[in-house]
Amino acid sequence: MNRVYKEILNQLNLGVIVFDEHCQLLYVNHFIRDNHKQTVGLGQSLFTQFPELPEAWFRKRVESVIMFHNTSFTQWQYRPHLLNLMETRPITGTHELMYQNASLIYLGHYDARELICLVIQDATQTALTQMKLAKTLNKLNQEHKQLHTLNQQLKEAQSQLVQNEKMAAVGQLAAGVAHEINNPMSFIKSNIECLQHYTQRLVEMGHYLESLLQKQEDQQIIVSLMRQKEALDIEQIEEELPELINETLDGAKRIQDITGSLRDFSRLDSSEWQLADIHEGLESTLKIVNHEIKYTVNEIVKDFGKLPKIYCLPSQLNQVFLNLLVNASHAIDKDGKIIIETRFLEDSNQITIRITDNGAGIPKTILSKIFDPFFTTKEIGTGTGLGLSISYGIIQAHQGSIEVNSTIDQGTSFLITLPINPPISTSLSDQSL
Amino acid sequence: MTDTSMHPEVPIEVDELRKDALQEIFNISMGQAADSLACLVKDRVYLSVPQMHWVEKSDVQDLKAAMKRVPKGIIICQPFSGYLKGEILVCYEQGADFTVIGESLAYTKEQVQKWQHELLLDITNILGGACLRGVADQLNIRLEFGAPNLIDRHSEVTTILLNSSSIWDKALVMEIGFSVQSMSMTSDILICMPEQYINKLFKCIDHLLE
Repeated sequence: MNRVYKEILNQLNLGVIVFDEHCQLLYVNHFIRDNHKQTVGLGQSLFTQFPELPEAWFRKRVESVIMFHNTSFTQWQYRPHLLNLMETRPITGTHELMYQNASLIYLGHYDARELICLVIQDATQTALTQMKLAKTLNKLNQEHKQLHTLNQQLKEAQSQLVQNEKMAAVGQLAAGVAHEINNPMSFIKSNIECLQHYTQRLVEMGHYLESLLQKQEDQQIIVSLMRQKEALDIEQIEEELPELINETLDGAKRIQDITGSLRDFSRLDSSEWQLADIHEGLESTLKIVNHEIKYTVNEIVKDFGKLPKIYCLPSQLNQVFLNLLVNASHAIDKDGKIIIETRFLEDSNQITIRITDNGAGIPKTILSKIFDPFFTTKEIGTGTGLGLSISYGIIQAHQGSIEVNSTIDQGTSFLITLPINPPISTSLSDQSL
Repeated sequence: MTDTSMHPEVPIEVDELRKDALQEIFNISMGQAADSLACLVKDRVYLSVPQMHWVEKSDVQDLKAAMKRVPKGIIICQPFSGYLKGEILVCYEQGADFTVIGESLAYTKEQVQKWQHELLLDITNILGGACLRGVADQLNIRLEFGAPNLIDRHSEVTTILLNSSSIWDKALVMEIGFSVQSMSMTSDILICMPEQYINKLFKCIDHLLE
């Protein structure tokens, strides 16, 4: 019968090792012998035969198994190769070592020895399949995450596109309307100027008639004239008329200014490189944004230096000024102050434009991102996240630089440096010379 | 719920007697287990007096109310079979320090961190063995243990019991608190046995009472 048991043990698709409480090897079955790299000798220490086995840990386990007469387990996830047994498939296998689940079983007390059995189960297939699954799942999760992010970006980009389209349409409309208003405004203004002269002459005519009537003797006529004059409040009319006309004229002039600025700003007519006065651009931009920033900004300080004209795309630079000014006003809650400084750096043949606000400031964590396309701190649909990135692109195209300095609760300062003659244009003019 | 008899046909006095005996058997086992555990981990081990709960799955909420506390964390289960059949659920809450107990099982500090799950599986195995070995010895029955498994990392024990697709209806749940002085936290052991094995359990107890 003993032979039958031995045969069963040897035919088992499990590794069986029996040893005593001192970890002295008493028996190993064929599975262990066949799959272990070295020949296994009985009577020796388990740890000389299997040096890969962590001794202190294993002895502790043996101790606990003997103490509690129970079975202890290890799993391939934590101890993939408890013993250096080789993978059973030398041809189709992809791993050298076998993944194992193991049980440490207390057998009992025989011949003054505690006997313990270590049973090794080949878990290679399960382990490899599970690891592959986990890897695939991980990849899927990552792809899912990426897709989610892309989707989000797409949504944002879409809403920004809509917003951009809207802005472009509004801009075109504004320029068109400005143009349309400009024509009638021109004749309204010249008509008012005409009216100013005519009414002046009419008043003079009245005075002349009055003085003529004063000279004749019929008091009746004089009294009736005075009464009529009083009834019609002519004296007050004479007093207020020039003022009324002046005010109207002033209003008309202002409308013309705004429409002019709008036209200048969009420069639909000129998108070519040209010599331009930066101060003119700043002034026209200020007029455009005035309605947007006047609610929060009390004071705009224009600290303008003496600047030469620079070779640039004026409408694009205006776009930059507009973005910076509008951003500045958005950073301000109330009692805002915006300082615009311009300087000419003769040594380097550059000009600088610094726009400083006393608003909320930009947190350090996002300071490096503000020029990134689609980065916005405003709600979706409110900010395009493109303003500063477009500005950055424009300044780059001018071979200039834009820098930002910000302190929380104190404000933000943008410094634009522009060459008077960008290298591109210099080379162009060289060629033409 | 704790008072509900599982066996309406048995006179209440007998039922009470059995429960008292069962409680006593568990108390003795816990004492022995605590001693052997202390010997193994070389630290003071505390095992609370087991609280007996008779639970119907539809009333797991009642168990929640009846339990001393409902732990939440890493949950490891270990099946046992033999004359009786059931499962041990151990819940290790976040924040317990296993360094000392790990060292006593020959895990270095780094290994305790790196192989915490394996260590917890081993602790569960030892705990389960320690707690039930005494019961098996007193009842003179055979019990074998399966490999412990990690079944959840962030759940309440009762959520696991409540799983609607699980196959039990009524069960005996013994609630035991376990702590080692160095662990600075109590873990919770639930020894659960489904209804069909309670009869066998009581048969053993009746035999003892005779």
